[in-house]
Amino acid sequence: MVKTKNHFQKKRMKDLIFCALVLAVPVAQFIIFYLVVNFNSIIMAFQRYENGKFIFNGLQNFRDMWMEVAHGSTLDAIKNSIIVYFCSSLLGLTLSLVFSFYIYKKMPFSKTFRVVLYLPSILSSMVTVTVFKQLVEIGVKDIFSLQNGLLSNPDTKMGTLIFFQLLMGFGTQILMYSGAMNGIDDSAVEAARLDGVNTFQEFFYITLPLIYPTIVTFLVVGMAGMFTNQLNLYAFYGNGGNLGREYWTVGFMLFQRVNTSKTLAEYPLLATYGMTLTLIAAPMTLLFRKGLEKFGPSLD
Amino acid sequence: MQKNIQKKPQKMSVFMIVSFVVLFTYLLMIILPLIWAAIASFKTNLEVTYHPFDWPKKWRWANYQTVFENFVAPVASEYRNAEIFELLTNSLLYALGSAVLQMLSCMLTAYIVARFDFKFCKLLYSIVIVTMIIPIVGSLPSELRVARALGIYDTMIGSWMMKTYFIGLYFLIFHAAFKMVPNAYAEAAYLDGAGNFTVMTRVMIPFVKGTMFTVLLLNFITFWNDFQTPMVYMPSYPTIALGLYTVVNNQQKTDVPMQFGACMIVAIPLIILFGCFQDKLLGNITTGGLK
Repeated sequence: MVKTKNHFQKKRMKDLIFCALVLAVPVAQFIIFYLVVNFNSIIMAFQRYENGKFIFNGLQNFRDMWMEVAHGSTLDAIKNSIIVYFCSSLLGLTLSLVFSFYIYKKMPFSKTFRVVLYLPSILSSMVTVTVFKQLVEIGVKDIFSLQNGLLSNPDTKMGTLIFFQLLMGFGTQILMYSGAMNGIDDSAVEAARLDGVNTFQEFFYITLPLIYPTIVTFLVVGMAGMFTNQLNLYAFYGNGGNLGREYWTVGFMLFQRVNTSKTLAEYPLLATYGMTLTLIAAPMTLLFRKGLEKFGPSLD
Repeated sequence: MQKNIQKKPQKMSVFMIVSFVVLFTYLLMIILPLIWAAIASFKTNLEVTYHPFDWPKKWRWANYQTVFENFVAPVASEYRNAEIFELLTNSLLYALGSAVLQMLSCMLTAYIVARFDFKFCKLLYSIVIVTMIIPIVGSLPSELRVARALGIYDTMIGSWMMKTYFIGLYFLIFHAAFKMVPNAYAEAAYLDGAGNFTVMTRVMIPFVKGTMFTVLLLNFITFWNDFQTPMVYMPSYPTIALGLYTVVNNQQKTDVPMQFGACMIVAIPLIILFGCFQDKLLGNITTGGLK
């Protein structure tokens, strides 16, 4: 009995050492590049950069930030980020699900469609952006004899940018949704078919409820990334020279300001933005997730 | 058998016909612009501007020679330009190193979390879920400050280290894959006297090698195309994607055929890679919910 217990403890110790060795690098990486980075980001929100040093600055960064929000274009950036998320989620999700269902059902050309849907994901955003940009600026202008290209016209610019994001964003979602659909037990579908369910009803009442956890994952992760989504603006406009500030998203604004700052002086204010937006976005995402789980479809 | 019956092509309903029309339109919207850009890359700038859809009057292969000569990106620390082969080498090092390390980090962490029942395994799983659903906005300044403090800013190794994270969707994919492998295989190996390392490398990992390859390829493509990380974290090691950004936004800002030529040079190797490995890339990788 004692021998068995000793053997078990020895095995447990060996397992523990093995786990520690395997996890050492990933966990150290997480501690440095996630915990330390984000803790440092919080500290920076209360500092300023002066004479090569970061020194305590109280709440001044927050005052500066609110001044910018009140008098600048930050509110536009927040509004744009929210619009982009909802457009991408509602339209993108709906189309992704329909496309995935088509592929799952092995309808004509489903393999070809699958490859084409994934193609934009393997191309550099610089490639897709450059081709699309010239197409809507030169090609569409020529076809419809327009005065300006779609990106040069202020009325169509935002819509065109969102449309591009939508067009290019199906890849991973299709892969995951069709993967989840392939995991559906065939007997459930067979039983429903015997009950006279048509394709549309099968999609709504069988497929969607069964892959709902995967849908929630994408919606929640998408919402979590709402304020980091750059809408490919950097690929379209570089540092934003020809892009009016009214088209910026929060993700673009933060990246552009870090990339164009010549010194570290602007970092604390940007860290303040980051911290504030995290405090807004985190509860929103958690509530959204709770809501999705509570009001999701049932299999009844 | 039942699966085969179910997955046979079915008669198309109205729902499926509408889906087909939308999908076919989508296919045209993706393929035709790429073909247009490929053809336009052989034209003059005036031809593209004034007759965008006409066939080239003359196929100007010399455009590609010009593109190759001008495909450069600045090396920040040395005040010089890196040419295309240096950009390709940097891309290969950055994409391959980051892809392998990130895949290994995700896979090994997922293996431990999926197969062992220590309390920290549950903690690690919760960490992954929490970091996925709690958004962190604007940590870039802090990341740069930490990288500078550690002396890894503007180094290739530093970029690899930053990409060796395990948090994210690929962890969940590996976790689901390891959970699906029956315990009996590992048990049998343990009974035969195998240790933890042998069981992991010779019994369990072979079961997920399909997932491993898919994640590796997806990572490689992502890092190959990433121009923002090299721009911000390693400006002395410009990659081919950053080179394309430079060509499009600086060198050839007004020359559309040159821009298209540069795009083709970057896109064609990936399209070939995709063609070779599309079955692996589009294989079944699945993830469940965020529980």
